[in-house]
Amino acid sequence: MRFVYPMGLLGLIGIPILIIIYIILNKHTEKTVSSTYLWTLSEKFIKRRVPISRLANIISLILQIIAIALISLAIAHPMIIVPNSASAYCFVLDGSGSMNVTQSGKSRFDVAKGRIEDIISDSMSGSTYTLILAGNSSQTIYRDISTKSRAIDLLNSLSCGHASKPLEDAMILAQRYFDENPSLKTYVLTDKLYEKAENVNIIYVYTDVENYAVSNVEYDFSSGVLDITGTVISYESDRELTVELYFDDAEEPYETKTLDVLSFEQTPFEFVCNLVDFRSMKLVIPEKDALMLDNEIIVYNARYENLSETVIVSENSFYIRSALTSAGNTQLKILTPEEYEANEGIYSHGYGLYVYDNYMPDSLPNDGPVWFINPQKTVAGTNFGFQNITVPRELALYSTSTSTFIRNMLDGVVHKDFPLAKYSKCGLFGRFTTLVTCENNPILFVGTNAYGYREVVFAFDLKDSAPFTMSSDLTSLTIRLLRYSFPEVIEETSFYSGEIMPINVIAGCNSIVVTSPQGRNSYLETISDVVEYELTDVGLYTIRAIMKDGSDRIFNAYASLPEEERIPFVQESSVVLLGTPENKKTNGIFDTLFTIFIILAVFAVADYGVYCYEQYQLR
Amino acid sequence: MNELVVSEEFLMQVELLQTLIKNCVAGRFGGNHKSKTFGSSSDFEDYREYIPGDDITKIDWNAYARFKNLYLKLYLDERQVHTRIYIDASRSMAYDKGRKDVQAIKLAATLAYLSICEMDKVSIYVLRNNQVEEVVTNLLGKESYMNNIGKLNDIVFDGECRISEAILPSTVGYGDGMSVIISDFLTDNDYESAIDHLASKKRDILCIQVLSKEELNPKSRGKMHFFDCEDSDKFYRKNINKVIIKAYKSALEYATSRIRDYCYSRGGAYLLVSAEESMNAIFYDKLPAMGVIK
Repeated sequence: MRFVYPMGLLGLIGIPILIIIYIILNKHTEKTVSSTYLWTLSEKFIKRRVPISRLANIISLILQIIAIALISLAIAHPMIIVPNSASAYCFVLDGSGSMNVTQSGKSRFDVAKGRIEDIISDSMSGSTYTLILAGNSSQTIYRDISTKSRAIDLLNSLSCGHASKPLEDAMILAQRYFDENPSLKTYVLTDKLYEKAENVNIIYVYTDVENYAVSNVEYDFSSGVLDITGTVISYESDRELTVELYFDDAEEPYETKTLDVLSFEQTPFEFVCNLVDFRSMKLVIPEKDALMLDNEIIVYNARYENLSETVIVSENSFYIRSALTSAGNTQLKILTPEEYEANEGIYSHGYGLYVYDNYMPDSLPNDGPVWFINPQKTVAGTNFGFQNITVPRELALYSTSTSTFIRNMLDGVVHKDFPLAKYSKCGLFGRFTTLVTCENNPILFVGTNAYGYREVVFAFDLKDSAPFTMSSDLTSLTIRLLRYSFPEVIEETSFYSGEIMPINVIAGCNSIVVTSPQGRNSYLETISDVVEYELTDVGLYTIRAIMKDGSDRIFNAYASLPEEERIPFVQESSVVLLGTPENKKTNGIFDTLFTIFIILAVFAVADYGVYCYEQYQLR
Repeated sequence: MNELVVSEEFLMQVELLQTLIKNCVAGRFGGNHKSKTFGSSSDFEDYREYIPGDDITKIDWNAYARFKNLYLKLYLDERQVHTRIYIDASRSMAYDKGRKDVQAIKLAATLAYLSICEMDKVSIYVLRNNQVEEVVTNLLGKESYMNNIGKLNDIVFDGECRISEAILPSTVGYGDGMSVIISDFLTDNDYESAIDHLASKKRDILCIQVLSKEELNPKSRGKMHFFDCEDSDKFYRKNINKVIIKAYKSALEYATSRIRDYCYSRGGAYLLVSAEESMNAIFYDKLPAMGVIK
């Protein structure tokens, strides 16, 4: 036997002290009474007692000694070493999305945690425990800890992930630990069925459950109406399922469809909506099942997410307004030059895009991209200079460069050269890319201004370029120029949990904050053009781009459960730990004595209390 | 004892009571108690034929006119009784907070007053060591009572008391009233002989056992060393616990039942009172319930 806290045995010093006090103070209280006759007479009425009852005279001393001894031993926390009785345990806990499936009110993950807790509780003290969580990432939660309560507390603090992570990474860690200690008892707790298992004890936490999922949602505006398609699947049985479509934050469904869904078959559905735009749409299967995470999917309109208001300063904005509207930029603020000049302080900042058509402002806006159409003077910061108005003798030519950028910018453009009535000859100071030239002079070029914002220059008047403005090239170009002007913070809004979401760091962006579905805020670095964020949970992520002027732009993205994790029951090939297992055990500790001593101490103290009560009628 | 233990107010209340002498006693003096013999009271009892020598004033001439025989009217005789009250004056009666001495004097004074009200003679004695010492004797009438009852305050409770050894040699009277012994009776000494002696003298016997609250229900617990206040050689050393207390109560029951049964077997009466018990409770409840007074 050994003691965890041997100093606790110092309490035993109290026993001789108690005996000395008892001897010194063991005096009967003397009292003179009127007569001892009745007391003496009472002796005749005392029932004969067994000899051991003579101990009753010193019962208080005995009980006090027992109480001190037991309390001292309890404080010292005695343990008995039991040779070769303790084992080393390694638990691989599947924390993938399918472990969120609820069975009898508890998720599979919680059931698995309970099974591990049982094993730890039942194991011999002195055993060591290692826990590997195969969640959103595979990681060792703890390694070779021997304190049961600590192991259980850390286990209970874990939460299930939502990603689709196979156990391979976790098993690599388990293999490493197994190599170091072949006597390691490895348990894998999962809901996936493995055909083959070597050197591993698999504990399945699986029962048949109903699960439905909506997936493959896409939308299209090309036909003039909003066409939404997707699929619904039932993973257990044939069911009649309902799909509800919601737009934006509406509480009532926009439309509902009922589908006969066959098990394990993707059943398509389609909604055709007479809408020109939406901010978000939600598709929901209202029927309850074991995994509600995949019964809902939210799609955000990326274009809408990146949209911001455009100010157009023009005497005749018909062409540019048409082009922007056709490209989907519908939030327009149209001003005449006079109105703009009268309120330049108001209109020269706070907008997402500034378009100056046949007008040049005195100063360049410093908080957004700027388009110039037919510039006629030089403005500081634009990085180009106006030289003169030129009447061309040749057609305007699209760039034939093979650079990726130019090819992307001109993708979808017919490339048909067009005539111009006149154009503004400009000199370029900064880094510009020329998309269209006329007589070798750039007449459509893009670049960056002195404030770091994108700049697009049409060095000709749109209304004098009918073949161009009346063609589809203008719309196609406008779409790409808009994309160029607004490097989108997020280009996709629908993801699967476990995926990486790229986030563009736009000009003027000071910091980016991502809020997860659990409300956890992550502050991302903005030193590079693109930052990445791992989507570990299912639900809505909010991306907040805080600009240098203090304003912010908010975007939404939705991560749904990976399709492979929606399947309640998956059969995997094998889970194997290579090597020859051994059965070496370490010394175990029988420390239940501690509890026994505590109980005995309490019992002794309680017994002494009862004795005092009887003796002295303490009330 | 520095004060008259029975207040005048209380005496006025107990005046309403009168002792009930269960037996018709053979007294020598007139009083309120009826004698077995016929006498000169105004209470008619019976007729008998005239025998020469009888008092002719007792002849019922109306009966003679009707029956032509001489008949005497017989009346109950009324005799005066002598109540003798013995107070145990041992130290045990006065020790500690029990105030058994106070209760004993109150009882004696009250009983004496009741007897005085019945036109009886009253004597009060203390029993100390082996002797009967007179405190007041032959009190008759309230004036005499009032003049002398204060002597009870002078009683000193000290020493031992051997009841039988004290009473047996003393004059106890014969068939002329009640003998009251007030004591705690917590003794091994013989008191049965005294009761037998009084019974043989045709005395009505009333034994009043006065015990303190602590004696009736001891609160002492733990290791105790009790000394007897009358005899320091007597002691009791024990760890007083539940078992001992239970045995003590059995001993108490035994001791009280012993004297009670002995009194009853000799035609006497027995009363156990607590030292803290009020006179009202004793004289309005307990004694009437026993038939000693009404």
